[in-house]
Amino acid sequence: MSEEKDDFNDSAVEEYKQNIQDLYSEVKIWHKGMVFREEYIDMYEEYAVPYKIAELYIYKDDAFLCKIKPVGAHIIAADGRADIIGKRDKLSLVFFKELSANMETHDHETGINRHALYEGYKDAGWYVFWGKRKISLLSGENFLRATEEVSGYKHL
Amino acid sequence: MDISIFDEIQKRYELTENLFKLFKRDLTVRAQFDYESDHFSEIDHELEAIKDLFIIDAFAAFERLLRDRVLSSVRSQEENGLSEGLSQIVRNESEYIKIEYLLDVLKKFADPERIGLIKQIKKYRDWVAHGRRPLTYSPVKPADIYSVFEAIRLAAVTVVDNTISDVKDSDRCAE
Repeated sequence: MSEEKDDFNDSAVEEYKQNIQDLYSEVKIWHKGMVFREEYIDMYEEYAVPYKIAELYIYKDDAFLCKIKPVGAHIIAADGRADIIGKRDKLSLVFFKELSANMETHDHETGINRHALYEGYKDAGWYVFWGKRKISLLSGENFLRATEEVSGYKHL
Repeated sequence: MDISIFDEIQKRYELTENLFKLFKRDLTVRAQFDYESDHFSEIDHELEAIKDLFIIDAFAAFERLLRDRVLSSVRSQEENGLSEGLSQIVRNESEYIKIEYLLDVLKKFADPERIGLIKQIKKYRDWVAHGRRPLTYSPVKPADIYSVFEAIRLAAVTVVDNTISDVKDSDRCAE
């Protein structure tokens, strides 16, 4: 996130692929009982050699709910992005490493340092974007909410 | 132009985003446009292309602010006829100075990491503005348009803040 990313950096891709797999493993636990299918796609990013990565399709019984589509390892102001796409809507999931001190701003009212670009940053991990720079660390609860929002299904 | 331009651009984007949301939610509005698909994520796909146009708009405003800053710096150095003549040349050529050179100067006054983000946004802007060349790999993509707006606004604050301190310095010299 911090450097200008002028170099090919396959370690970033390797980390991203691992982070995506970790995300899918958690999603399968959070959405226990649903049906999953992984389908590999080709990724082309300027700062990486082409690579393959899986999209995760999620079904409830036979009905398609949504899919998680990897967007890239090299992302402006983040360390990886994947989108959760349903028939109704789309939300972005972003991965952040540890917050760089350079991206902190000091809030004089609360005395707390916070991320300069995002509201809701806590620690390294996957986050869901709710809009207007508001993010939440991904958990079973808010992943369910995200799934409901993008799929249009309620009370999953 | 001042820094409020970024609030205006963001406001215009928010209006666009809200209209898209309304279009997705309101069946009667969709019926008026004969929109039949029930895959509303297709509409999100269209919004992605529009977001790119707003990134171009925001970056153009930032670039204007920065180049205007170059002109005001040059004017402040015009002490005599020769300086004025030489400054005129810089003024004429100021639009052609590579923005990367100007951003490198900003790095000394703002956090280099934040200016690094502006360089990434600039590369993305170039890719969009040059037709999203399909046979080339896309550059580093934005995480979210609002964070792009904020990154540009933060860098613009550095440009404006230093303008104010320069004015104060020249006032002190005059005294």
